[in-house]
Amino acid sequence: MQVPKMSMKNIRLSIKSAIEQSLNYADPRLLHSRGIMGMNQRNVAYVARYNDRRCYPNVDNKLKTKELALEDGIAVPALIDTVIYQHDVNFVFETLDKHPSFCIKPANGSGGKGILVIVDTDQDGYRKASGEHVSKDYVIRHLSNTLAGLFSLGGVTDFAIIEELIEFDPIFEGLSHEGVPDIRIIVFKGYPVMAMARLATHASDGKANLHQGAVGVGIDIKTGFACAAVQHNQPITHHPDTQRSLENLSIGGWPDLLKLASSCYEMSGLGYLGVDLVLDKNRGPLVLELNARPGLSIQIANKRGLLPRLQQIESLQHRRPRTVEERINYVLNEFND
Amino acid sequence: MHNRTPFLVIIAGLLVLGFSNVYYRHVEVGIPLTPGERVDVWQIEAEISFDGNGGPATASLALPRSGQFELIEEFTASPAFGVNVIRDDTHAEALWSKREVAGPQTLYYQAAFTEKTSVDSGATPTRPEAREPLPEPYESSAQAILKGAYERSGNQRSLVAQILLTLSSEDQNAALLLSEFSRTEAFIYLMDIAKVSSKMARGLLLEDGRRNQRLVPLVKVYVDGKWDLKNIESGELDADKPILVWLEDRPSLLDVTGGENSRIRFSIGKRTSSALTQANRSGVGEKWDFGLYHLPITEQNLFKGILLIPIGALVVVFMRIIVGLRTSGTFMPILIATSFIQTELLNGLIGFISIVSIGLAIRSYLSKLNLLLVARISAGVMVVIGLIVLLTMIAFQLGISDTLKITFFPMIIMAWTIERMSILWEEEGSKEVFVQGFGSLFVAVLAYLCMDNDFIRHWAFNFLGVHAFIMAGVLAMGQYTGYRLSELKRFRPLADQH
Repeated sequence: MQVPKMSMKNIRLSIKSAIEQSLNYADPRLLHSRGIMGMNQRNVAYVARYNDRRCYPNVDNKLKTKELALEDGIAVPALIDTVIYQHDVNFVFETLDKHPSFCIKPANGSGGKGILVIVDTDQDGYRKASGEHVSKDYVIRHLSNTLAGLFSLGGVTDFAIIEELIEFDPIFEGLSHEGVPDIRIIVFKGYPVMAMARLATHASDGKANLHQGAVGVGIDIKTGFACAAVQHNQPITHHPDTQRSLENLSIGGWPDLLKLASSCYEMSGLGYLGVDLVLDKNRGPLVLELNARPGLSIQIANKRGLLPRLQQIESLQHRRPRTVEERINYVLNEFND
Repeated sequence: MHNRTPFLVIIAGLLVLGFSNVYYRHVEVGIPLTPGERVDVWQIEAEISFDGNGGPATASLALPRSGQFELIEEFTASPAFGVNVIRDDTHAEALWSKREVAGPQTLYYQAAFTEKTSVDSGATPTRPEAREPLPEPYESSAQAILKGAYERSGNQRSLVAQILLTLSSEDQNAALLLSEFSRTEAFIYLMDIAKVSSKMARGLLLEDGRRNQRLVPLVKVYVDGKWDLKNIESGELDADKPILVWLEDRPSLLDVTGGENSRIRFSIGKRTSSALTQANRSGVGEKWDFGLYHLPITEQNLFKGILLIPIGALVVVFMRIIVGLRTSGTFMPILIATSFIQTELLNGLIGFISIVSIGLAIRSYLSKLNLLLVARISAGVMVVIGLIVLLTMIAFQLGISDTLKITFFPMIIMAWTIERMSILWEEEGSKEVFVQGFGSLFVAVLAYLCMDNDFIRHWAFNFLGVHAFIMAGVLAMGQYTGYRLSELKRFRPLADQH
């Protein structure tokens, strides 16, 4: 009778693969060799080290971000009005009457919570993105809730900012379901290192958060072409709701987006930064939001780790701070694939 | 990488601090390492009796010096005598005195001893001085015994053993020597001429329930760097019967002046006692022993609870940084775990889940009322209190009095938990609520299991150094930059490609 030889190594390998298969865990050494960054490393080695606490309000408070951006000549969605006191809520409609479409956001909101988008005003009232009409009372209540801090982190009282509505660039036509398509670029010490487009789906309920089922499309940092797409951590080639191909997505004027993202470094003072951009049909790329703790899903969408590029940037030793153009040139020429 | 040295120094410092504290508490103070550990306590009573001559009398009783046993408590009972217990570097004795003593007298000395965990090796001896030779023919027989033993042995230890063997054999020289001297005296003399340090001692064989005991003559021999105790008269020592060495370096046990017919009898009793109680009782004299037992009981009980929180924090840090479990509220699980300690696990779980789920249902109605945040949370607190009152009343009617303890739940925390979960529900959907809710509950149960463990409670309260270890662990995990266990799953697609 032939007994299969079970060397210690074989046993170990088979146990290991059994564990990996049943629990679906990746080998940490493999992840490490691919330069995948984990949450702990992001927090200790990048967010805590490169992001000065004092600069956090620059990005957490959307109104402050907007003021800083305007100072620095960075394109942002135009501000229509702000509502700071409950008393002002009724007067804001004088301004709103001049704007058929607008967007209300909490200044210190998080995760897209509390954003009311009105695409048109007609005799039935205010029309939301979904086509549903809401009354003036609904808008008043939404503003009151925003001021009370319902949508804000920690529940502190907040204020509302009212922005002009963005008209999405037709390149995202059919690629985002009931929601805002945006482009997230990780900017490290002013160098854009990785990018992805986030497309809302039916599963994500119109939100652009990857863990809620939005589609993440990795965008090649040098060309602006789509390089990979994932939903629920699984590779996909077509948008699940509209069936449009994601592989041919390419973002025109890519170097302009890179410059815009890169200039947010000087503006915010944060070394490790997530810049969320939108493409307006008329105005081109606009900075929508900045994030001092950008998530790690971008690695999954790009199918590559952040660490090699972060370490490449860390190894640069320039005595003179580089300009935005110099940084973009570095990114376009020195990053390898 | 920036300089990690200060960080590593702090970690090392904390470990040293923790270890030295544990060492001190265990070895010096005698706090047992496990909570249930019991020790034997020997209670010894010396009864001294003599007849007074009618004049002033003093009685001095030599007391045992610290050796293998530790004195826990002692007291004397003696009618109308002045008593002095003297202990200094060279001697220890109890001294009774009275101006006029006539007729039979009885004095008592009682003491309780425990066996020490660490044994002092005792002073290193000076080399034995040269002794006057014994008168013949004894000197030649002694020399002959030594010569024979020397030839049959290889080292000091076997030489001592051979001499002992010869003394208890039918050897002619030994018989001659023992006809004049006691076995102990003969042995001591042989040790001296063999240049082995030895001394006479007298001790008490400890056995439970014995009365009218006397001290037995013993010999201490210094072999291989430590003192060996030997009972020469009866041969080898019985390992089960510990010996309390009462007297050494001093010839007399009891000196009575102004009296006659003095005699002393010992009785011995044994009881077992919690090692912890004994350690704390014996440490009462020392003001600063890094223990909390000097505090009033109320404060002690308070600290018994507070000192468990670092354990819970350690569990939370581990589960969040290493495992990557999502919880609702960073330290909420610890607070829930502390209330589980009061309620018992099952009651606690049922109470917690029912209060939170009913609370969530009520909160979903409150959110329709468009309340401002502070008012909403306050309403939440009242809802929680109402639920606790209701559940307690129902449980009381049903005769389940254990549930009454759900009043221990931290109400503000429960209200915040409900608030947070309901916002989470609206923002991220029900799935995230269940992930975080059960994540929190899992961490809370784990923290509870760690905190409710007798062993861990014992260590957290009695060895404050443990908290330095925990601090070191938390700091070390704070610098952990590796992957979380959950990330191995999350980034799985990245490991699969090519």
